[in-house]
Amino acid sequence: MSDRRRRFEDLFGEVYEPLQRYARRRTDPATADDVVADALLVLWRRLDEVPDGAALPWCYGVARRCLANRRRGVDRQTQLVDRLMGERPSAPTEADPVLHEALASLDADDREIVRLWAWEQLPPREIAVVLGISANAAAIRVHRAKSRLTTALVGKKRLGAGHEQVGTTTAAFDKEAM
Amino acid sequence: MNDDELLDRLARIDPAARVPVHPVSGPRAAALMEHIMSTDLAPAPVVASPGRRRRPFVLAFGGLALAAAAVVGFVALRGNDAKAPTSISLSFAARSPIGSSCIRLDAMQPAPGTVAFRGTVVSIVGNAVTLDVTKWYANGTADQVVVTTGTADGTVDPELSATFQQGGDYLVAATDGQVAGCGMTAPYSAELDTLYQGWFAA
Repeated sequence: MSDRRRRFEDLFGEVYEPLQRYARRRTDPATADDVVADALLVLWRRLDEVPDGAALPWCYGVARRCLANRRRGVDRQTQLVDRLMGERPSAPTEADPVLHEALASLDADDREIVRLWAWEQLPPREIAVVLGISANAAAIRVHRAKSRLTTALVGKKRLGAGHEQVGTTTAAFDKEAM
Repeated sequence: MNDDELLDRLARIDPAARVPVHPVSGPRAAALMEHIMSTDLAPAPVVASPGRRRRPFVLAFGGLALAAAAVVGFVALRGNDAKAPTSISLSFAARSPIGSSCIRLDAMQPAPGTVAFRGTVVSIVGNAVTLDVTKWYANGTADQVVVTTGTADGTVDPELSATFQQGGDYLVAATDGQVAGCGMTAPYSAELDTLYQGWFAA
């Protein structure tokens, strides 16, 4: 077995399952499978470019761009549906709607950073690899994204309390937030 | 709310937490791995989108026919028309069943007329990737190059998909309207820049 094949098999074993979770958090199951296969093909072809000790965030970065290009690659109507699916997880949970709303209120970059931090459990230096930015810039953006999410959560908590006080429902807010 | 509380709360809405994934030890993973390792290391050739004349361009470097990343409609602007954008249209389509192989970059020899530049991606809007040219190595003077990734059938070449990022700095080469693959078109690096300077020396 060649060194190249051996190295790919090692990295495949390291990233295959986390990559699936990454994709499933961001799109529907069928697209997720395609994105994983695309990312792994890029891994195979660009094996020499994979940074030591950072194969997984490197693959997340590849998958992120594959996913973005898949969304760009469909017609407008399908693209819209796909984006909506991408913004909503493939297995949406009803738990904590306030947190869902707060996440949805973030811009796409902040939302992705929060996901990478919380769901992929990446430190800023690895988020930097995913996003192709410096570690310092990533640390700042992680801090800002968390702050904005916390602020959004506090705002929605207050808004919810206000609705209760005046005896209204949060239906209108829910609709706007989506 | 501190970080631990926020993490805990976010973990409870993680959509992948309760979704089974294909195990790396399973047959699906084994089949995928073998399939990938049986593919060529070169980017696949791509045909033009409907409405354009389909031309299976082939790049020749060092006597080898290299599969190009895409068929492009390329208008290399020359002379005094430096402000007009150069247009490149890429169309992603099904991979060719005919494989291709790459040779070492430093053994390549670009074909005469190859267009080569260094540019920064300033926008990716829909299928259009716009690069501000920071340096022309050969056969061009335009300030900007627009790479339009055609998506007639929605199929995307995964390697090209991963090629361009907003704000990224790239070295791009194209011959006969065909963007060069095999590592010739890639994020900027000092090593590739050195090769470009050798290939495209005046």
